[in-house]
Amino acid sequence: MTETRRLLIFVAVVLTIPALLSHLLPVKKHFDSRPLERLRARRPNVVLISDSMLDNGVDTELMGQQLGGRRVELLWHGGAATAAWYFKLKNYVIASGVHPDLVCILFRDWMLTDATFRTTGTYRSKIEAAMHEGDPVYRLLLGDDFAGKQGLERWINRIYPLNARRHVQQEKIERALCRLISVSGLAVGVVERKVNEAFAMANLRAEATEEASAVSKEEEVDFDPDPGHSFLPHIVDLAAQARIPLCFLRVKRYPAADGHVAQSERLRRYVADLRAWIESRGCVFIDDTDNLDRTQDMFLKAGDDHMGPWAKRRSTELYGNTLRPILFQ
Amino acid sequence: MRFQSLVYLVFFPAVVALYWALPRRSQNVLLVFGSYVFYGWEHPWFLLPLWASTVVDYACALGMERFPARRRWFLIVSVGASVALLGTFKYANFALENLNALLIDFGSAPLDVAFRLVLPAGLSFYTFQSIGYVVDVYVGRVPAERNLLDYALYVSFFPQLVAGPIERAGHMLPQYHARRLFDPLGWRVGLGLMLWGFFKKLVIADNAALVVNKVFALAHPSFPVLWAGVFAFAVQIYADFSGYTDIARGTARLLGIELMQNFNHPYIATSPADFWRRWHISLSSWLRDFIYIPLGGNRGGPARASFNLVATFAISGLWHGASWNYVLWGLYWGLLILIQRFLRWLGIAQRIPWLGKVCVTFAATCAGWLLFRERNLGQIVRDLAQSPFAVSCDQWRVGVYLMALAFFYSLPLVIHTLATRDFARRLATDWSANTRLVLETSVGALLLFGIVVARSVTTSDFIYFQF
Repeated sequence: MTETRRLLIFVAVVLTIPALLSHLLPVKKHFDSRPLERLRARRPNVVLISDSMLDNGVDTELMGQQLGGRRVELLWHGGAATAAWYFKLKNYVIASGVHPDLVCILFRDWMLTDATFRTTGTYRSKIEAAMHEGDPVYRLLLGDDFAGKQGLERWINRIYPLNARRHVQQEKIERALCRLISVSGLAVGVVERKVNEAFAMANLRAEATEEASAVSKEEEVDFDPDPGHSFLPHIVDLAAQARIPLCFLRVKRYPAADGHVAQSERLRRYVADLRAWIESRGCVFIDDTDNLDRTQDMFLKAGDDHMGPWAKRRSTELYGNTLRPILFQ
Repeated sequence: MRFQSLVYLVFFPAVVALYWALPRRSQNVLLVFGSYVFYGWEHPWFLLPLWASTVVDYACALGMERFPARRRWFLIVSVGASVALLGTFKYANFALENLNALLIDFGSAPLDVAFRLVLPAGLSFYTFQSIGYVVDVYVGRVPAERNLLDYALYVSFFPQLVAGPIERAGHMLPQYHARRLFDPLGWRVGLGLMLWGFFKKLVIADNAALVVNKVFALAHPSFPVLWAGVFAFAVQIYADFSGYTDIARGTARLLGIELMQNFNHPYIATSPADFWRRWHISLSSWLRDFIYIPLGGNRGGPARASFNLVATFAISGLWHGASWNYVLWGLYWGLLILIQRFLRWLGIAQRIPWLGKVCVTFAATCAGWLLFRERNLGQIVRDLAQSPFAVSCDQWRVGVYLMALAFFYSLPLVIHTLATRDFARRLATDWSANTRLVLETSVGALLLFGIVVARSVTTSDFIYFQF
């Protein structure tokens, strides 16, 4: 056999076999049904949806007491944004059949209308855990589920499903290693929790928390309620169809010493337009930015909008004060 | 343009297809043009310092040959221009920050000047390569290149432009002058190297980076968590940098060009000096030939030789980045080699078994990586003060978990190191061409399959791009 022929065999086999084999693997990880089961078991009256700031800023039991003995459930994960919130509402809250008195989404400045914010990399696997395949809204806003938007990228992803499998394998590996550590007497879930606790927001350096409290892309934008551009209209429609009262709470960013938060003129205009649009759709809009009771000393670090562990109780009471009037209207 | 980008997937096959359809002179024109497109793709202005360096060094080398009496002046101009280029883009801000800190210490007002220059990718690599060429011409190791196109290709050859290897004129220019023949066996080797390089980067380095980034984001990592992160960084930086080199060498092989080996299983080094014979070989040999030996090398007694060594490593540290932690890292390596020499002089080093030497060297290397990865000197002090005894059981569990994760991703590197010791020799001699084909094809398919299913969820730039 000539070397040229050997080269052709090498290229053909190396390119073909992985493509065939990789299509035999599951496309994505199975839907994480644990939050769904939890919602069905607990049947909460109030569901709060957000990212890590929810865990830092709200104590579930205390919030329940604040809201007149209602059962409160938090739906969040670190780095969640609108895509994840849409699926948590759709595939957990609504799919559970529980009809809460209120669903409240806590967000930062521009977040609600940035569909692509926190949808790639490690954020993606968390979104996939809450979605079913082939979701039309996801496809509309973020392109094909697992292929990219560019022509060549889509074509390559069809042959080599580069984006579809990697989260599956990574989680399998991480879980297998947790199992290894659990030989020491702890359950796998406990080991996972210990690992997550080690990297909790309160343990991070200031520069590392910047991303967690990022609002969106850098540039300022005008409010755009186009369903082709953001998850917001779809979230509102879902809640309306399910007849679930929906509230959007804009959280306060790290304030100055006098308790006020500096805002650009464009951001003020954006928030005013956002409020008008949300209220015109029958939802409640609350802006906590001007709440002077939420003081600088409650925040975890300068420039960060997560509450410190010392302020969780106070923060819960403040959110309780904000949400109570809506529930007792 | 990045090797792991989609645009490279279009660019490279197009260049290769055109390349083999052209005669030699036109091949070089294509490579220079392609290299400029590759380099200027995201930041076209990066080409300006590259062109300036090319023209100045080309002219100075020719000047040395034409006016032998003034060759020292041409050397000074050329090296001075390269150092000025590096100084402006890489070290100006660092110098200013330190000057301002000094002024504040002495009660003066800091200078109201700020440099906001973006460091052109690969500047440190191509300036060192150019300096190497000019010095080689100066000492008569190579003749000055008369063809500007071939010299431009020597400086800008895209596979190695951004992160090396730092090649020598004596190795590369004859290849650019010669006619290149299509070699199917070389292609197979090249494609294999590229696959292995991409696997190392996308699967090993990027997955290890997930552990590293987590650990180095902690304000006060506990002892086991910190050292698990450092171990993960040792895996990441080796897979990342040697992965880049493999892709570069594989790419060059597809163009009929041979680049030098830059890594030789550095983590089985038996001493600090041995480590530097195996790690970033092109830089360490450059530093030896153009810094250490001109400083006097081993001549002039132990004190002078020790100074030369430590100074060379301090420069090596500074080459990596304009930050004190890199200088500290360089000094640390210089000190390690001095200790190694001392232990050898005492006759202790010779008595340690091979595995013991490898383990000690690897542990010392990891300690060095802490200095390299952690930019904040105060944080380094805090990290080194962590005690293994004041740690909770849970922290040990987390540390062991992270260590296991990093070790899992490093397994292909371990297998590669073990396999290539005896295996490669046998491949080359004992086995038939068809057996080799079956084996290479299986490994190649496995690597691509690994990239498809186990590629990290996040992809980062090659670490050495920042230098």
